[in-house]
Amino acid sequence: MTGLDSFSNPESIGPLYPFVGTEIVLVIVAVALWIGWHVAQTRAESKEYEAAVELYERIGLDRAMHAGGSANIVDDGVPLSSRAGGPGTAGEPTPPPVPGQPRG
Amino acid sequence: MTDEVGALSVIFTEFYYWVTVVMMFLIHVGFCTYEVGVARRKNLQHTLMKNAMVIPLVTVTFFFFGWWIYFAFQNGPGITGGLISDDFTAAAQPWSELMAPHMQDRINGVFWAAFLLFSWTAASIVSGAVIERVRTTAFFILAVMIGSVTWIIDAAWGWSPNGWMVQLMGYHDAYASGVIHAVAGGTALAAVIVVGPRIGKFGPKGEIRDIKPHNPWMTCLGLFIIYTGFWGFYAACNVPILDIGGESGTFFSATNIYLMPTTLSGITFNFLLSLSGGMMATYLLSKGDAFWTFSGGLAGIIGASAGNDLYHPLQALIIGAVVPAVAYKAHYYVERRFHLDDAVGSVAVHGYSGFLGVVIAGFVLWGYPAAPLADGASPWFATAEGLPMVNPLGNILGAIIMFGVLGFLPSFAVCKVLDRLGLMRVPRVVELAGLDTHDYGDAYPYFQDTETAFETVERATALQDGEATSPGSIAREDARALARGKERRTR
Repeated sequence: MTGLDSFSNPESIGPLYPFVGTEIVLVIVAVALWIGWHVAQTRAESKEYEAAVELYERIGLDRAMHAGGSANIVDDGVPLSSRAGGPGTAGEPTPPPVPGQPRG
Repeated sequence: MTDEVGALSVIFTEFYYWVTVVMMFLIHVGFCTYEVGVARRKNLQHTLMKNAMVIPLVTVTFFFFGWWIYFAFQNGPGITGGLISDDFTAAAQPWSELMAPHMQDRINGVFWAAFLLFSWTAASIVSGAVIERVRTTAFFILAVMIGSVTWIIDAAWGWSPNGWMVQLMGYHDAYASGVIHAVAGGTALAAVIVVGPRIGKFGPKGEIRDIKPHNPWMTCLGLFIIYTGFWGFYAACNVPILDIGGESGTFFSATNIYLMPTTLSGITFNFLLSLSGGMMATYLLSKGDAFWTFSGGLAGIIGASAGNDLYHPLQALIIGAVVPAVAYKAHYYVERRFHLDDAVGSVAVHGYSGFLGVVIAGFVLWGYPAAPLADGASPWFATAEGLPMVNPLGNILGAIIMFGVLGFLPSFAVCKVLDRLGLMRVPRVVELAGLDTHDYGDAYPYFQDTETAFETVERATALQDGEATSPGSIAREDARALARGKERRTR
């Protein structure tokens, strides 16, 4: 039995939920889950951005943008700096494409 | 619940607030729609999820402590008394039996939810100002701060019949010009200052560039939906049926949050007239710009909200026209003078309008009773019957407290700490590539291979001018992220 077994005397009924008396334990568990969620989210986002910055620095923004997402980017592992005439990363000037035109 | 009339009254009140909660849900739908419309294509999913996650995060924290703060902090504490501990605070503690289904209570849950929906709104107002460059982590912390701490403290102080601002200063703000909108505007202003402008928003000579929404129709639709939800907000600010006494001993009426009489019919007049004033004024000022006309309607309601329980509809119309006009001008002045990039005009539409609305109500409603006199209260200004009196000084100070003390200052401090920790702004290359690019992919993959005109400007700005046109924190973030990544790989 977890709680009520009769509704025949509604005036005497208080809480309707099961396991009355466990409220403080429930609050402690829920607060821990909430704080843990923030910690996990912060870590995951930081890792995501670290990976993104590394990738974009390596392959150059030109290849990162408009690829439909990083998952579609071909990362051949060749550093940009060794690529003759390759596209620039952030911080390296590159001729801007013509607005509204497809990128090659 | 044994006599039928009493039961009907209780169950009507329960159902009334339940309906307002459902209607107010539309406010959040509207904010999400509006923000996504304003954002550029490369940031859509990040923008949506940042605001959507306000719902669970503010809900759980409002359950843990927000609701308790409302009842416990009405004396400050430390201004007109200590921390309150009574039946209301006991019922609002998260482990209370009344914070759950209970046979003897019909009100706590729906009343909690009505306030919770206000909390979402407060957080959501801040969300729009910082889109396209704020880290989700930082926004979540800000959302919890305003949604479950700062706004509910101001509600305890100035939006409760026993709040010290009401009892001492005669503060009057019936539909939350200051209590929701000014505090959220002040919070957004601090966040905008600390996070800095989007790359390319301001050129090397200080010129302002217009960053176009990816979908202006979606933006206007979002504002329309917010209008719709605002009806629920207005109704939720009232107590639907209460015996307010009178010479015959019994007189049932709707009241505002301060338990002073108003009518649902009267506030319906004023809601619509203040909306109309705002739309008419900003249509003229912006030369028919859709974004500003819709935003102006919202600012019109916000500007008149502090006194819309009592204004004449034509007073609401005029106030609803003047306030958005000032806010519109102030938005562009601040943008030009201080180079602040408020992406959706949140600070103007909510902050300046809310602030002005509270100040104006203090003058227009000067002399009205603010609330029943609480035990032991000694108001600065009292009516002939001894009740706290609405007055200009109380509302001017109240507006400063809402916008500055509870809005701007806590937000500025928290944002500065987050910035120091490198959690405030996304790395520069991530911002340039688009916040969706790495995490989500393109929301519109069928158009992925075109470069917009502004992206060309944006990249050229970042590449040629570097930190000269963007806050130091951006470049610092890139370096930090790279260093952290290398450190992780060597471990």
